Amino acid sequence: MLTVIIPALNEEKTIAQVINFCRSEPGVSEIIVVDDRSEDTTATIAREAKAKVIISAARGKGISMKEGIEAASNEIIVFLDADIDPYPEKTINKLTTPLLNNEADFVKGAFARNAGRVTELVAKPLLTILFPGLSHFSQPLSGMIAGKKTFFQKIEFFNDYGVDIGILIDMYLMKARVQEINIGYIENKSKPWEALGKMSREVSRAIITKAQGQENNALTMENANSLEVIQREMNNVLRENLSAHQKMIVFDMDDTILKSRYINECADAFGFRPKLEELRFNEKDPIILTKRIGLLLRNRTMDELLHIISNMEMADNIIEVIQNFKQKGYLVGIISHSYTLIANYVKQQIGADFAVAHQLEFFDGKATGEVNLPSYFFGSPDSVCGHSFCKTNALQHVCEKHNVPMKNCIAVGDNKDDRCMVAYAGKGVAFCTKDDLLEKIAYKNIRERNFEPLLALA
Amino acid sequence: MQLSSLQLKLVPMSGKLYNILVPVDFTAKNKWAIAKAIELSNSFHCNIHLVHVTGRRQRIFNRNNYAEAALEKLVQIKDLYRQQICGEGSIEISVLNGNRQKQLVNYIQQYDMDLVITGLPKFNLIQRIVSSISISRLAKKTNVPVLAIRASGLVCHFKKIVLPVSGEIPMRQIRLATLLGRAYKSTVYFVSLRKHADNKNEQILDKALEVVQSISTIPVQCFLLEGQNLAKSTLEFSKKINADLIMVNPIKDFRLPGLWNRITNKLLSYGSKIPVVTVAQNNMATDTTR
Repeated sequence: MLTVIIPALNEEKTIAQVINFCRSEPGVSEIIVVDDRSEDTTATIAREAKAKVIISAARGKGISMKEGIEAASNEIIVFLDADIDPYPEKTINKLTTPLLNNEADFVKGAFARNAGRVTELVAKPLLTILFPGLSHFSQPLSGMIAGKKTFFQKIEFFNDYGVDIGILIDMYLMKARVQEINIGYIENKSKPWEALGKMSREVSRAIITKAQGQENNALTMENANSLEVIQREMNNVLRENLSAHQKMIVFDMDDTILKSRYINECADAFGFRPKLEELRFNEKDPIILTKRIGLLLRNRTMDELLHIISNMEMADNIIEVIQNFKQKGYLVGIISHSYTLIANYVKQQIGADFAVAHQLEFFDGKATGEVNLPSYFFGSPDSVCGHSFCKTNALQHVCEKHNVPMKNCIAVGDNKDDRCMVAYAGKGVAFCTKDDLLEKIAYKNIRERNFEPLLALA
Repeated sequence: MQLSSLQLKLVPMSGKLYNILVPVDFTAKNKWAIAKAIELSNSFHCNIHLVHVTGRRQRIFNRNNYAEAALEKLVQIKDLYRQQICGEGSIEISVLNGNRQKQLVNYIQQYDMDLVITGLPKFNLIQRIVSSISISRLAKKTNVPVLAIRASGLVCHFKKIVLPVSGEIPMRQIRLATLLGRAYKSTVYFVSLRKHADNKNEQILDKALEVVQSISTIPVQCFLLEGQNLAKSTLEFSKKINADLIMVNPIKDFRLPGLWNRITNKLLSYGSKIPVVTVAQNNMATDTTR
């Protein structure tokens, strides 16, 4: 006789089908749904489907599994995920046959599936180094498992994404007989990128913690170095593959995308124009100038600042041109010495991919007047131009981040501040500029407020 | 006005040279060109392309065998120099058939070369005339800088770069100078003739200085030189300061004075033991949309 345990959290859409599937399998005498304090009707539906329902004492898959094991009345236990529908036929049979025949103490279900990035990029490389005996498992993170209650009771369960790999490693360390059985094809949704980071961290923590716990401490300095090399190389390959043919176009914001300068509009609206002009005349250091201009905005609310930008005019065909560039595979961004609040607003309006600017600090919705200058505007020994504070440094940063060679970049600017960025981009464009040197430096000059000629460069 | 991509080719600014072409004719002068290419490859992690173009004589007489033998020689050269490459660059070899100049221009265009390095033979009048013409033509036709190296020019850095200014801001030379200057921590010396130092020329020198400061932090010094010929004065100045590189453009100003020099087309490259890079000076911002 078998017990099937189904840990579930907010699975009202599929739980009934999974319970019915279990009931259809011969040999299943007990179905336990451990409800992880769902906010939907999972528990009610499970009760209606005649499963034994336990409400978990605390959230977390590990705790739910442990509670299920304690409640199980049979020696052979099968764990199934609550969100898979349909399961391949005979899943339970395939998982339990080696146990019933006394050929194994623990069985891991593997299945053909459409994704498995954490398995391939994190779990398998780590297992190969730290637990080579488990490196042959095709799906070490699979949650479909079956085993003997006496073995499960000896295990410490992780309470996160590390739980399944933790069980496998514990079984292996206990010298239980472990088998992997293919149960067929399962349609499994890929996790979003945000969730992958958390999952990767928890899976790697589980593997490394188990390795450290061993008597001979499998995690040596050499292993740590190997992991670093793997991680670095993986990162390189990923970056290369992600953007093999990627190109980028970056725009200055003031007097380029916008028909005027944002700070000038603020100066007119809040009445600090003379102070602004005086600052510009006296202060030649761009860092101090940026900081001092920020002070002029002290106590202005976010709403006031956004109200000004929302009333400013943008270049007529900028949205169409950006859409066109995006269709041609370009990454589109803004690099500005203005503020992130404003640059992000403009980014949203024009449909760009990113905006890089300075951070005007706010407290209780009001500007403190302090301006935080992001580190990527500052020069480093690798800086191509060598300037200590320059848009080219920011351009280099975004190019490295997105793995776009600078020679594949188009940079569009209008004033002295943009000379360097326009010079270092593969194709620099001077847009309606009054600066004759920028015109000399640029690859192309556009003298009318119209971005369409840019498309010829794409 | 639309220009072809070749005509508008920029001197690379992204802190990197990607491809260097070394035309190979299996004479002694190839050695120092390849040696210089390897130095640059090790600094910029760029690829070196060794290209031999079979001449008309070889084509008439034993075309296939000659091409095979040339390729074999190139393989030997590649094996010999491969060990000296310690960066990420590699050596590519090719044998081309046809008109030398045309084939080189096509190759430069097709494989996106950033620099051509050519060795200059020791004194040989005919070769000098031929290679002087070919350097200027190649630089003009491809807009790719052509670095001419003599046996004595094998310094392994470009600490002092002399850049003569005449008429307009030498944007392409400035771009190359800042690229090399950033890598070798060089100083750039702008020089102009005092006789040209009227208002307009002084402004050009100032503007050139401002351009360099706008796009880099390399140190720059400006000098007004005495004399009547910019090439001659530049050469004398370069010798005096012990310069490592002179950047010229292939126009009349950069031909050395004197009837004999004019008849034999003696470029500054030939009068100088200092390496000379020839960069065609067409204005960068050629495409203007109103």
